[in-house]
Amino acid sequence: MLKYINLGLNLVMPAFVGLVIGVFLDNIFRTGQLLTVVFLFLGILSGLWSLVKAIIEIEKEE
Amino acid sequence: MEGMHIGLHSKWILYGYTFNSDTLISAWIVTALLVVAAIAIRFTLRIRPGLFQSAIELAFEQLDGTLGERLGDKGAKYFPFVATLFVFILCSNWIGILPLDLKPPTADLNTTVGLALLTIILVQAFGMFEKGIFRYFHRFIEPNPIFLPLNIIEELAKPLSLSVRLFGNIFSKETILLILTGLVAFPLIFPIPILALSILIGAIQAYVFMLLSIFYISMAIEGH
Repeated sequence: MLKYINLGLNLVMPAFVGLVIGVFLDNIFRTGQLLTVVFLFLGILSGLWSLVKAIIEIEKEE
Repeated sequence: MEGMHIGLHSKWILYGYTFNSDTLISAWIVTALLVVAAIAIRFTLRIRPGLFQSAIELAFEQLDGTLGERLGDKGAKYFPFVATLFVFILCSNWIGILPLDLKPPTADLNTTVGLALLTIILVQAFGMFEKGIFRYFHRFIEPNPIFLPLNIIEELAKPLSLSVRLFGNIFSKETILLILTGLVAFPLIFPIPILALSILIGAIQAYVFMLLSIFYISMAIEGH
């Protein structure tokens, strides 16, 4: 049950964290929007990766 | 609808820092109640338990069983932390129901972020103590070092999702209650179903927070 509770937010939150890190680093290094895009992309990938991991674990348990 | 304020807090400013005084006061009241209850229960323990003691023993046995299911023999070590977290969040969620004009501390993002950060930092510490620093950090480069940034972002997102889930549920309950009492002329009957529901929401959210903490602890100390 735990993994199912987690799936939705775990897909979205990493993208948000990636976005925040990207904006923060762009402000420090003055690189326009480059790092925002890169880290947003990494965040989305991270969300998908956590989804894949959860599905693998659920399948293993079943 | 005049005079209704949603999400506004009374403030204290000390040495340039702003504190939400209503959240702080209700969190202190919850803490004080828990400490007094713990001491009172400790000194009234009997070998042949009464009804109240039996109920508390039953609740804690359930909690112990949940921990044991996930963590096995190691569960007992983490019981005090997890049980305290559960009881504090449960009482914080429920204190808004009492007719004392207190806001639940968990309806403020500052409290939930604090609890989530505490949980995640302790989870990292538990993992390092249990597995050793090198073996613990090895899980960030699994299955491949390319996954390092993805795993780090995933770890950083954990406190955010924990805190936003708890805050969102309790804050929305408070908002619905406020709107319902503001909409009707005699706010006696309409808020009752929502109040009944809020008892359920409070218990479920405290349980979910505790279960996720156990899940994160088990992931950190056992690996996946």
